[in-house]
Amino acid sequence: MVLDFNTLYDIPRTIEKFFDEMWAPLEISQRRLAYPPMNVAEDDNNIYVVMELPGVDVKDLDLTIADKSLILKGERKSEDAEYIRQERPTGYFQRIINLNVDVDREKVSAKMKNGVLEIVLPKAEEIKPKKIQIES
Amino acid sequence: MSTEVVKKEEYPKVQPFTDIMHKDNSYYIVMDMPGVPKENLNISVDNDVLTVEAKTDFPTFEGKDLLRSEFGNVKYVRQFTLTDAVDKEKISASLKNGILTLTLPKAEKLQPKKIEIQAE
Repeated sequence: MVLDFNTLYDIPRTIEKFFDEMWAPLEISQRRLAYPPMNVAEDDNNIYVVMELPGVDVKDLDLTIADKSLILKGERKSEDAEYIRQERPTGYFQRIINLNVDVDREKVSAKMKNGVLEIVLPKAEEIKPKKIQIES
Repeated sequence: MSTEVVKKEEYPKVQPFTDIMHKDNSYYIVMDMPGVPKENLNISVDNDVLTVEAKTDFPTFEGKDLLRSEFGNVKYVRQFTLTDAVDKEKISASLKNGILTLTLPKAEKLQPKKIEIQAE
């Protein structure tokens, strides 16, 4: 690292740093499968999709619902500056989520907070579990 | 032997993706920190070592069936060694949209200074 000239000082930290860096690639490979990483959950009424999208402007995101799939497209932009180190990914990304169930398209909501995108997809009325009364 | 499962309170430590940039009279450290609210962020400078620590606060799925899980709560930790080229008193930070930007202004004495030549 360019800013790091005085590596001879603070030996315990230097050793700790060495081990941290040894483990780092492993952590990254475990974390990054497809971009953006997402968590999906469901309950009886909704499907919940949560994605990590730090620094992506809402206007650079394109969220579409096609036939039983949710398509997210976007771009991560790079800064106009002289890079000394670059680890953050940039460029276009797209992810398609198969929903496998019918959703109520009109009621889908999405919000962005702290670089986290949360999408709530209400399931269509027809597929919700319904209790059937048995007459005796 | 105890069969009780010890619950780990600490989140796994992760080094956040970081860009270091140079523009005009400052260095910029930009870090990806999705899911970190302002109150969970801790930045300190001690003996030329700049430490950034933050805990994520992702929405939980309690009472719901998890279908796919590709990330979870983590503790972002990263340290940087600063040189004299940086004015340590003037470091500022801003957190926006899950991006932490640290602005490190260059030290006054290292900025280029034009010397006037006196013509006789």
